[in-house]
Amino acid sequence: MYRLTITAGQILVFVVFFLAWELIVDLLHIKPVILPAPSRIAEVAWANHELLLRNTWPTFIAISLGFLWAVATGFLIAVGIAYSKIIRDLTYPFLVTAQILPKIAFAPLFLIWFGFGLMPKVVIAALIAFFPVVINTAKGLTSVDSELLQYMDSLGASSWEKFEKISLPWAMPDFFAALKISITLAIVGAVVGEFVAAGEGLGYVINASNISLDTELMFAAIVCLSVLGVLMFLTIVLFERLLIPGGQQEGGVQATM
Amino acid sequence: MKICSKWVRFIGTTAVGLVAAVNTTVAAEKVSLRLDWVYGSEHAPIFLAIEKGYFKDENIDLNLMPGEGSSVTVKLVGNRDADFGYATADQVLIGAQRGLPLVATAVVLQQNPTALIFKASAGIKDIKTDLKGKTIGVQLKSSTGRQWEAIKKSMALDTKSFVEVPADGALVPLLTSDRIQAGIGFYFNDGLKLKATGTDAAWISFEDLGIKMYSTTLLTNGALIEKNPDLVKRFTRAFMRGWSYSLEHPDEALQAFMKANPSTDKIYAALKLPEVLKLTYSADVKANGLGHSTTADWESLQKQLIEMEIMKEKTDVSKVFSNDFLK
Repeated sequence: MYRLTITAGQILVFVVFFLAWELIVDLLHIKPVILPAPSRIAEVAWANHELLLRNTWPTFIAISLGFLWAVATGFLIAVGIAYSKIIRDLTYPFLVTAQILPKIAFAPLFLIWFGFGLMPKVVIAALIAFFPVVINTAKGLTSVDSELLQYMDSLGASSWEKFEKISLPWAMPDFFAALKISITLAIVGAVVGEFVAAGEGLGYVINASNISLDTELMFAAIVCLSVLGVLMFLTIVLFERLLIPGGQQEGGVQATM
Repeated sequence: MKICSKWVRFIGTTAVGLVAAVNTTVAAEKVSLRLDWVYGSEHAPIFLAIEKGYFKDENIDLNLMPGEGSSVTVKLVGNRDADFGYATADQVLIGAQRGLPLVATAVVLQQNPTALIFKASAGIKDIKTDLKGKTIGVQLKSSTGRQWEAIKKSMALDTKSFVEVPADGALVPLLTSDRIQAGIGFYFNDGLKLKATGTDAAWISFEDLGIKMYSTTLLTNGALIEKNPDLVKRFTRAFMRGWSYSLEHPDEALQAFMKANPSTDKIYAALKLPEVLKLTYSADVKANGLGHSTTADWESLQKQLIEMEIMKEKTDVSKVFSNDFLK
């Protein structure tokens, strides 16, 4: 019953938000070129649905590849950090510094370093999605209850068994929390990549609609991007539910969305 | 009765005195001007006008702000977040068509600065034959990209003989690193920036290939013209005074710009200003004065924008510009 009421409430928040937006635009007579009303955006999105769908695909590919690359390398480095004091001490200051660095500022240079097309987009997406995976996963792996590990030692377990049976499951909630942050960053990265280095994709549509002051189309593309982002986020939540036994999930969906 | 009139006279003279005092101390009107882009020597005549006190002479306290592209500038002026703007004519026209009450009070740059830019060593002389096998960087998110489309069509270029790549915002490094052999951009920006790096740069101007278009204009909001036409007149006068003086004394304009922007690339700034000043000329300007524009040329701009599919519907161009404030 509570679950149902909350779901209804969550939908209501969206409805109220869009209604308020529609009303404000209407009452203040704001021109669509400055801020279009949601109804107008929906109209334009429908009229251009072919263009939008065609451009969603390259963006999806760039986000996915960037994200997967970030997760794979991030996870491996996190394991290194968790199991080797030398790696940890050597790389940690560098990783933290690199995380703080505004990587997006390098975007125009990526065009020169990595050429045109998919590559620069994937690299930017991977680069900004990478750090939360490393840092969160390493934290998860290193915060394992030491008594549990001692218990495994007393049973004569191998290092691999300890990793697989104790550390890895222990780190899962932190790992998934990182994935949820990473996927949103990968979206930002891919779109920034498309701003500077692409002739297709939703980021390109957003930017290109600017020259004809087509604010409605720009919003329609942003809506598409948001829907794509939410779907990718929910896919991760689904995997989290499947892989982590109930009750252990990091905050659950409500807290993180 | 006598006393009474004395009092009246006293009050009268005090009042006159007070009004006079208020008049002399009245603060200059605060007016904001949003440029098309970050400060560059293409804005030197504006810095000169400030330094020479042309705005102060008109009792204007100018708040100058850099821009983030003409499309943003026209929206800010259309929304009355800025009193005046300095932005390209195409964006003014499109903005007006989209319902923003924009009026260009002076067309400062009369010629189209878009060009095909390359290293002189690329050996491009004839655009019809010499692009074969070359990679060309196109700024897809700029109207220059659409102009290139129009040129490809009008000159019937063999588009299979060269490769086009998206190159927004990075034309010069792409050219210097040989990732591309030619690029479409403003020659006074990308062309001269390339030259400033010490590379022998060359370009073919789109104006020469038949794309005649007004470029940067001074614009304001129609509501401001209605409310305070005198201010619009004074502002336009001060602004254009800066340009006329700069045409006579380009070195002073450059100095004024460098003084206000000491960290600027001085070689690039010095290369750019004379090229920009050249763009202020046209046959119409020669006959009718700096900043003047004609219905015919605005109509022709609109026709080209519609052909390039940047503009979707026509608008009444006579409402989009005015020469009245130049007189």
